[in-house]
Amino acid sequence: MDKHNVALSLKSSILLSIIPISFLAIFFILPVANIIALGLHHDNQWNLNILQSVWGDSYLRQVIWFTFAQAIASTALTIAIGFPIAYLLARYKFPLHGFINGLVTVPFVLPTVVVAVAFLVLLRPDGWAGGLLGGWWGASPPDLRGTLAAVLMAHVFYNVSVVVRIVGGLLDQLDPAIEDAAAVLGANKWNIFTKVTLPLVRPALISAALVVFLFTFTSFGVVLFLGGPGNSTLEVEIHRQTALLLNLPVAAALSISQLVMVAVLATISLKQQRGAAVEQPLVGGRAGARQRVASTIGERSVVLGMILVSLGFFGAPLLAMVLRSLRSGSTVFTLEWYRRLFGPSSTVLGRSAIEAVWNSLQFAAVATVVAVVVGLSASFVIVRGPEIWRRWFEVLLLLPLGVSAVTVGFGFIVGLDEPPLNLRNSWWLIPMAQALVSTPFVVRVLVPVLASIESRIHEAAAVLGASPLRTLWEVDLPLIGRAVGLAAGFAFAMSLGEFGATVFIARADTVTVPVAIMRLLGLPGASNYGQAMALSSILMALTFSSMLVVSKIRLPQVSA
Amino acid sequence: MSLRVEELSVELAGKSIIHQVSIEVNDGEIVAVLGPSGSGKTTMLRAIAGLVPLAQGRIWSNGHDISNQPSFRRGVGYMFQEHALFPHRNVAENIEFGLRMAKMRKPERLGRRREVLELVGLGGFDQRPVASLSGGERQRVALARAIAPKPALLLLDEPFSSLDRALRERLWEDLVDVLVQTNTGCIHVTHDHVEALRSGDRLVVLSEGEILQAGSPLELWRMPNSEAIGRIVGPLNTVPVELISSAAMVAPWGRTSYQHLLARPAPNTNSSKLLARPDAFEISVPTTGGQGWFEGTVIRRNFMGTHALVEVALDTDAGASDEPIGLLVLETTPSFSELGSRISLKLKDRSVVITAT
Repeated sequence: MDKHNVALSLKSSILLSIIPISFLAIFFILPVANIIALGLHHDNQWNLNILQSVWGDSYLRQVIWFTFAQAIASTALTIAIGFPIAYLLARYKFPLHGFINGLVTVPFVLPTVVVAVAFLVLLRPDGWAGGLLGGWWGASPPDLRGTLAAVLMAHVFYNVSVVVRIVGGLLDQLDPAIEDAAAVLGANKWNIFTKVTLPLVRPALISAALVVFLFTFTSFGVVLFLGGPGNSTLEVEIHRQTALLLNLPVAAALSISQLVMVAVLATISLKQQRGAAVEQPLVGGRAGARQRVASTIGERSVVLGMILVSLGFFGAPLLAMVLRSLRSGSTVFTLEWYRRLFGPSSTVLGRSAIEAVWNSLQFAAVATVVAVVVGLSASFVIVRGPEIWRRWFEVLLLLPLGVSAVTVGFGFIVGLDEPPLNLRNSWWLIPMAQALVSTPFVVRVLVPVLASIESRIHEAAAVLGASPLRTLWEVDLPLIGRAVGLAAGFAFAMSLGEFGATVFIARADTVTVPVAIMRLLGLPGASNYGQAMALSSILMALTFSSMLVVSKIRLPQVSA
Repeated sequence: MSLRVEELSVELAGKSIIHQVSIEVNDGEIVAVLGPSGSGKTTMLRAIAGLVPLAQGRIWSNGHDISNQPSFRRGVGYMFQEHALFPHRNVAENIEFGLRMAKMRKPERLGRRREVLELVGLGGFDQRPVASLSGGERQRVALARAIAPKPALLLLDEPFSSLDRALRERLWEDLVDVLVQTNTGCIHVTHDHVEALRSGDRLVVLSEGEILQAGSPLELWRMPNSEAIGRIVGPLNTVPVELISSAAMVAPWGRTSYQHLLARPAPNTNSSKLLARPDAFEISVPTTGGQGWFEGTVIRRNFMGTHALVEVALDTDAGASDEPIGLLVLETTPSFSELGSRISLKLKDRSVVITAT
């Protein structure tokens, strides 16, 4: 019998689609269309002149090459470091297991600016990295800030969580009987790992690699802060061409190039994932069911090494940043910088920096509401709308994910600054950009939960006398309530830390925390630096607390 | 008259699933619908409940035409195969759901909830979360939830098929008690002929979306209209016979008179099939001769406790080209046959039907 979800009537589908479609039309399609027009419409006709000149420019070609190179290197490093961590976390019990798991997975929700600032602090020659390297280099250790190495480190820091989530998730769910069967058939541990486990997790490994590649390919904040002048990616270059050189057509041509490359990559990755998928029995086992205590000396030293690396690599940058925000000169503990945030003396912003916190909270709150409303209605259409709509909606809603935040921000300033829609000075621009960036995540959280509500439940409500609207209210909303809370938490955290789009749109009176941090760092002086540290620490704390609230949410077991 | 379905047809994705089905259910009557998987049983129930649209036909409930009503206005109770309890609500809230939809006030709701919970033997389970219930308890809650709003008609879609036999039989007895007490009409669809035979006041055989035959369970057991219907309703022996006159036929065991054997007059054809249930035979071990007796060899025995089903290979004439005929025969205790032993059989009076091939 059909176990599909109840279908919405055509009328309700249309009504529900209006919200996401108009939102995407105004804040996504219109800006992107403007970018395309800007890049391809030249001398009153459509042509590829600007694109050709961009691709012919040796500097810009270097940027494109660097974008690929750093993404490939970041991905390889992330897998090389992330896979062992994921494997050890999934298969071994050891002290601090929960803490390490949290430590390596939490960076995913951290704002890019916070990660970048943390590494800036860590990599100072007079900082911990300098201290460590000083042992080898002698008196004057190299300054790693502004190097490819810094970018790679921050990317690994960020994306190991992706590998641990995707690969570790699969490792937890693999049917233990398969590995047991190999053991009974005479395979030793190494053979089991290379001949059974590795091939089985290969699809997850590939899909994690592709996700990491896409993320690092479109990485903005990390490269802007840590890359230094010679190391510019497409994203950074789009920003530079727009904000510094005011060369909008070139920025548009770069945006278009990036859009095409991301589209090709995403298509390849989807094909790859379908091709690589191995039909395998997954037991929806609880995490940790396969964990055992390391027994041999070799196992123990590997696990111990992993614990130390994790603590050092994932713990040190954030700790260094927080400590730095509490330090002034030789005073190790002072709240001086935090106090200064409240004073009007930070001239760079023209007002006290703490206002940025208030701005950020307001923007994030509005963005969260918008993202949840748009994402919720879109999810209903994706799960219950007419068959043909579903696929289109799914693709449409994922598009903003592939289009980088920088493109979104750039599109806003070129697309929404003239009639029919002049929103250039509107307060709403920032929350709308943030909502656009977080809506795909909201959809990804809600769709599976909504899809898992069986049609029988609806039918049971109907035969008991509940109208469709009443069923929505009495059955669906309570069932997805927690997922909505989870999605809202994600959206809030993402909006708080959103940088790539906001940096284009923010004005002096609408500065958000990440933008304020960037401006403070751009100026000399211990006070500006200290305040940047303090703001970063506050942003990290805000993100952590919103995720902490969210982590208390347990998704319901929908199938009864 | 609680429910009347007239020439109901249902199409799904352009394919005819139900074709011109008519059924009546009186107050307090249980109609069992028996059919193989894919025969359209569930779709028929869903159409009556308004969960799939009708292509044709009318549905009357207590004299009102409800064919065009959405399911939430039809006032029928439905028990799903997978119970479909609301996972986010406890037992009390599940049961009161329909009552709230009917706008019953809180004090009355409370009373009714207690009443139905007592009825299904779950008194005091009110505040239990659904997830903490066993399979049988969930089905009881689903039953309580379905009957709480006092529906005119209860539709049961193999509600106990996921439960073990003992529990299923006990729940069925409880369910019948509840239906009798509340004088509720009921349609019970199942693919299990034993369940269908014992549960229905009337039995309807459905196949490929059409009603093949309807009648009392005994009627369908003893007098199926065709071999196909007979096989759906239960184990059946078919024996090729040739009617040579109104008095005599040639069976594999020889020429014999037949009118006294028939439960229903035979059709007017020569080459026919005799349909005999395993309980249509008298047995004799050791073998015996005489009018109407014939012999065979026991080739298989299935001992079932209260009885045994024995397969007997009939002796065929030397040189006969036909396949040897095996008959499934009911043997009641004391069991005396053994594998390989010779056995004599005789058809009981008014125990078989003859159909055209």
